[in-house]
Amino acid sequence: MSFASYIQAVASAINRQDGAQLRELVAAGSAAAQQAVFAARQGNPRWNPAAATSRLPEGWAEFLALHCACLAALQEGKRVEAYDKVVAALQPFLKVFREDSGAWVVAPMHSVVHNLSSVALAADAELRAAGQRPDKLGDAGDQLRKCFSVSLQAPGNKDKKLAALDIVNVSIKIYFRLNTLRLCKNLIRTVDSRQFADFDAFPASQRVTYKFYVGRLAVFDENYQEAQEALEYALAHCHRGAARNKALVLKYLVPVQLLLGRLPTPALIAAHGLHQYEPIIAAMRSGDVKLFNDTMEAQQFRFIQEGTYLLLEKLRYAVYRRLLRVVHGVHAQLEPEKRTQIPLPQFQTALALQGVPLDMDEVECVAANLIFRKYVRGYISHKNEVMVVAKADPFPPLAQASLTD
Amino acid sequence: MSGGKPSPAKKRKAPAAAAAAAGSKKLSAGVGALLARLEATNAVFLEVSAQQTVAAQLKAQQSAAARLMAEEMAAKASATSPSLASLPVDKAELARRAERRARFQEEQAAAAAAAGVKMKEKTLVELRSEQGVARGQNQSLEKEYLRLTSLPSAADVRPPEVLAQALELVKRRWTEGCEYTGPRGACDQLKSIRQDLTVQHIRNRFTVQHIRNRFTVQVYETHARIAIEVGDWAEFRQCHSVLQQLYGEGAPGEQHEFTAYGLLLAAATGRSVLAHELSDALSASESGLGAAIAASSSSGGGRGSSRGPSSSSGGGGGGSWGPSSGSGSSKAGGVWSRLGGAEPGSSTAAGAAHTAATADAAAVADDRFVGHALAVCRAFLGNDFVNFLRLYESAPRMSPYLMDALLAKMRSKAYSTVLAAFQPSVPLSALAGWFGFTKKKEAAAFLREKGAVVVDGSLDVKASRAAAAALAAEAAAAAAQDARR
Repeated sequence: MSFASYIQAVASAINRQDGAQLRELVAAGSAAAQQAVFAARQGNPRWNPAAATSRLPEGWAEFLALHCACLAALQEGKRVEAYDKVVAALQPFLKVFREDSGAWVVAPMHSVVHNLSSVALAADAELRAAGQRPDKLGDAGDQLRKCFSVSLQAPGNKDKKLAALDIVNVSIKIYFRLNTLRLCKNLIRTVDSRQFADFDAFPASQRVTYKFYVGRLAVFDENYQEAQEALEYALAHCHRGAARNKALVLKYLVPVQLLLGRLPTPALIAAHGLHQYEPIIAAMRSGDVKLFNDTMEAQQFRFIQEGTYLLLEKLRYAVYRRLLRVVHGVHAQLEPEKRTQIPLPQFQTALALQGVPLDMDEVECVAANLIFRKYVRGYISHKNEVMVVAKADPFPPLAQASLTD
Repeated sequence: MSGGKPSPAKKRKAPAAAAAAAGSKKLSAGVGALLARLEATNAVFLEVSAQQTVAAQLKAQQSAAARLMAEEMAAKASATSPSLASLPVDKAELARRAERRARFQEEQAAAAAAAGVKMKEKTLVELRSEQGVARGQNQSLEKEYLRLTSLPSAADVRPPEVLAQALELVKRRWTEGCEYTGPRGACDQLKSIRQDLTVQHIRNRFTVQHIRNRFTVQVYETHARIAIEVGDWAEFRQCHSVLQQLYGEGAPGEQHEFTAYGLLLAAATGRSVLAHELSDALSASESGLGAAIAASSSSGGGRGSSRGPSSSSGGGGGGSWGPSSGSGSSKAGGVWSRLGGAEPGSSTAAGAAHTAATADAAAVADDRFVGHALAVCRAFLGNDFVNFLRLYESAPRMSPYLMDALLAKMRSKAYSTVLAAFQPSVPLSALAGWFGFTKKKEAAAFLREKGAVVVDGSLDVKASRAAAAALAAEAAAAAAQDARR
């Protein structure tokens, strides 16, 4: 597409107030835009987009000129310059967003916001390669706050508030990358507040993304019930065909469910390719501490990169609990009159049989932690090296354990 | 004047007497002429001076008249209100006023002199632009640290050879036991070495020389280690972040050791910080020398793909730069491939990064420093106090200092665990081992602090529980009071 016809398409989209079409055209990844800018630059190396866009309505002209300049800079490989252009393009866009009284500007806002974030990433990569501090992504976060406040005010049309959730999602993604998670809390508080639009009014994809991040943040805060609810919402509302997204949600949901004592069926695992959790689940079912330790060691890096390592480490106690339960059962059979007692040396032997040789101090430590964290109800007599458990319900369900550190 | 000079012909013709007579006549004529000339110039001079005196007199008259007028006015004014104008404006007063007007000139002159001196010294920037390279000229081994407020002059900055010697001096003095703070202390000296390095851009990867980079790394590593020993966490964090950058650029150094220290520090800070530090540590390991760019983008890709469902817009999937399925012409395809070169986004790139990552990351975690640090993090989070203390014994290099921060928390948690899990009593000997005390006395002191009840060399669990509950209630009440206030 030539540049002239690209501008024509943009102009007609603006005139028709076709938000979806404009969003497509203005996205940084848009093929039409890329081709148009490339063609224009081939024709004239000193091409200035401002001249060509001047016929568009006021505000849009400046925005589009800067946007095309940004694309041109990207094609030349000057990403930092492109980032400056994209930030400059934000001002005229926010102006038209404020002034236009139709709700159709919400869709182009999505593109603008995503452009900001992806160009910032590219610019940071370039800065890092040059040995300088990559601060463009942080700057993008600040710019997004402006977009967010404009969208919340929704000047002229209440429906403009519908732009807000997407901005929140992109901002949270940026904060995750920068590890400034405390900034997410404010955003979430605003979303939950009354001045925010009704949650169900937003498109499903945005709701799913939002709940996904809320779930992950809850995991960081060790708030596992909330994490489970959020992630389950995300899973339930995920589009039927979005297999990759579902797998991503499940990647975090499964460990949370495991902590709460709910094991996934083999069918679920097979359906979403979550085979990395299979040995863990097997270990939890049988109380196989050796299998658990080996799996964690072998898959250490993978879990760390996926961000689930610390979460899965917590499951170790669930595995110990299972083994202790088995030992308790065996002992009850062998000595029925002492069924509430579990001699710790027997626990030690059981562990050694699996191939996990622990000395008595370590065994007592494990046992003490099981009681401390309410996986088991009872007490330890150090002198007799025996754990005495409650008569009724000595092993309460996992969900009742105290899961925080 | 033609009359004063008899023609030479006549002179030759006349005899000597005639000549003598003519000579004396000439002399007097010449003298007369000279006098006349002098008079003429004198007259001019006299005229001029007369004029000047006239002018001066006029001026004097005018100023006198003005003074008179001023006095009159002053007299009039003073009749109405006293003011500065009523001061008699005589010579002494004028002299005083002239002095006051000139009161800043001395200082200004001094400043000008100083500025003149500074301008003569060359700054490093000027040297670099003139000669293409900037080398400092200061040769002193010890230098106090001062924050730079302007461009440094070349005479203040020390060249790398001197800096190397300075570092050796600091190390030697530290091992001999010099102090950390203060102008001659290790911290100050190291900071000034760092400053000199930064200012001479020895860190800049485009100056290429790896020898220099190794030295820079050494400086920061030394400072980091000393900071750990002393407990200066702010300084350590600074050095740590710079070191991460340097390692990322490919500078050789003890990368794993400092990754481990970073992990331990993060563990003391909090869970989410630790989680992020962990993923950073392992993604940093993907880069080899000079593969930093690819690594940062591929690790970004690896993380990007795990960052969650991105809502669809424009281009494809996670990033907006991957080749979109709709692009038609080959020209645009060329553009895409150029753009898509080092960009995150395509899942195949992430997959490739993943397998490379596992291989390298295995090497990282196997390293004794990082392996130890990971085990410590596991033990700390899992409340495994027995193993934590064993790891403490076997901690390499500076790790014990970092673990000290964790040790306090670990002990207090261990105490709560013991209180919750054991009955009726636990002997001190066992507790000493579990809490990491070599002597029972130390264990007893620790327990007493916690309000425990120790009977006969054993911890009385029931009584201590009550005591702990009481303490907790007190603390809660105090906190509530503070909140109310």
